[in-house]
Amino acid sequence: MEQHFYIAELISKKIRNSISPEEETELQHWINASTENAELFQKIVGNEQLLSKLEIYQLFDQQKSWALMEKKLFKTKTVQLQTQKYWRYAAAILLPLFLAAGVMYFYLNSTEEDVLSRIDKVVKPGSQKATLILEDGTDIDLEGETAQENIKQRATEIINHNNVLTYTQDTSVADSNESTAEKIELVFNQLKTPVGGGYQLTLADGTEVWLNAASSLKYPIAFTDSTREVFLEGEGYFKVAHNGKPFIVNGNSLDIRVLGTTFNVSNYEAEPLATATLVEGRIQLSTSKEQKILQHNEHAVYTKQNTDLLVNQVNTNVYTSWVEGKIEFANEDLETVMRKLARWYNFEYSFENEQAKQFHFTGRINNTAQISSIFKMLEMTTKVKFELEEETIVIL
Amino acid sequence: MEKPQFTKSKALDKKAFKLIFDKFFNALCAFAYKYLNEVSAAEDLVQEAFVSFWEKGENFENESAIKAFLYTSVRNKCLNYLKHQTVKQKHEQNLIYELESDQFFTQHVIEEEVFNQLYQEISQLPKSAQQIMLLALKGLKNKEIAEQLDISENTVKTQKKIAYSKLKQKLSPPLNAILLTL
Repeated sequence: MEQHFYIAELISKKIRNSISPEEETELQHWINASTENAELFQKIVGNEQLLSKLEIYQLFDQQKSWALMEKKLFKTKTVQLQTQKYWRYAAAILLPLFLAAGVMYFYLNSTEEDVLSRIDKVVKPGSQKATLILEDGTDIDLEGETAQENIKQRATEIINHNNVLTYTQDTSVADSNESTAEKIELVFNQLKTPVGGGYQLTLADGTEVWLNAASSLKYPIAFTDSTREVFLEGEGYFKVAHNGKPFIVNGNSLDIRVLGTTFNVSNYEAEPLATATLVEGRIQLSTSKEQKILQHNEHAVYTKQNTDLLVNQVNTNVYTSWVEGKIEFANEDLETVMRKLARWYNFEYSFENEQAKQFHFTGRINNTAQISSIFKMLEMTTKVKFELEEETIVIL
Repeated sequence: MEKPQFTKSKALDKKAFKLIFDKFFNALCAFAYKYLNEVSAAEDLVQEAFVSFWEKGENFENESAIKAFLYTSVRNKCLNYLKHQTVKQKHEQNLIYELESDQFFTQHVIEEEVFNQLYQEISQLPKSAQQIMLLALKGLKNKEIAEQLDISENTVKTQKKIAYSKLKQKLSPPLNAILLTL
């Protein structure tokens, strides 16, 4: 059969145009030897055959087959496991060094016009901006240092200053309402942040709320009910003022009831998980099937798919540092990392490399940093490459 | 392309085995598919052939010997598979005849070998470029490709440019011509 492989190589060289004159003679000799050979040659170099063949080659799943075989042939031994463990420790020590080296390398080379700096020209960090929607549906854009609004609605004054929206309830009116026991209708406003935006808000009861990108909070302009209820989509950090009335954050699938505490809720529609992280105090979580109490430094993860609610102890900083302008990842898979980054840096992306979605990453950047600084870190620590095609980031 | 070293160590190690697998898996599947016309059956039989290759644990003299073993093994497995099919249709009888004929066998091996070398070049391209190339080779216009893959027409153009620059040094004028008309 060796001879046939040799002929195949000659034909392949002919197609690649790398055939030597001697080889050409040999090939011609073979072609002329029989009509079958000549027909076969014509068939192979003909374009049509070539194209359908390439399609057929794409039908087979090489990676899946290898994985199956690997399982069958190479059962993992304990010895291997141990070495892997040591590698993990080594990686834990070496990774920060590599990261530091990577960041230095990036700064030293930042003058080069490479792919990443081209990305920086297209993809910019987010900034403080939001839209306020009043009860009657009026939109007010809140953006820029100078944007200042003073609105009076009923007995509440709304002031926008330095990227903070503040509601002040005229207490004399609230008190008189309470004293006359007259139930007045709640008036709702909504604050919406776009992708690449964020905003800060002080509610009429003094509760402070930080709204992350692509989020929305609906709240009454004055809390005249026996409970304080707000509606959150996306991510918000709450410092609830204690005033005796329960404060309830309604989410799509996860409701939170508190008295006075500080906590973070992340409940994006596009994310498979919703989380609540308690910094101090106590909160009560309710899902469609259960209720759980969260103590301080605890973190609850709600899996939408199976409605499971799991609670564990965490370093809450990881989940709340965004309020201080950080973007932080704690062993998160690249798909989650990209979703998070895209929410703040407002870009489109696509995974060309499906495997890359499973890479895990830990790291922290300032939310004012160029996107390339984090891409550079990712490229240094995992096997991914970022490219820019049109305005889309492609992960290779 | 670099040639994997097969002869250095007496025992075939996993790394070399993986190289061989990567290089010949698709070609062997396509070869089996010609007879079986079923993707998963082709994959299964090719996997079996690789398993018996590994278990044989023998030192093969060179790449040709390995290829000969794999093609022959897949051929035999296809024959067994077809013969064990309960309903034997005329069509299958023909295929069995083809598989048993040495002439057809060698012709198909030659075909597969040539295409595999070309495929190895194309598979070096990024996935998106490969997809676009395949559609372009089917004769689709940029706009149609963009629609089918749900990407912008400009992306199609850029990807083609990348693919073209990577392939052009490696292919002969007739194939260059196909690429140029993309």
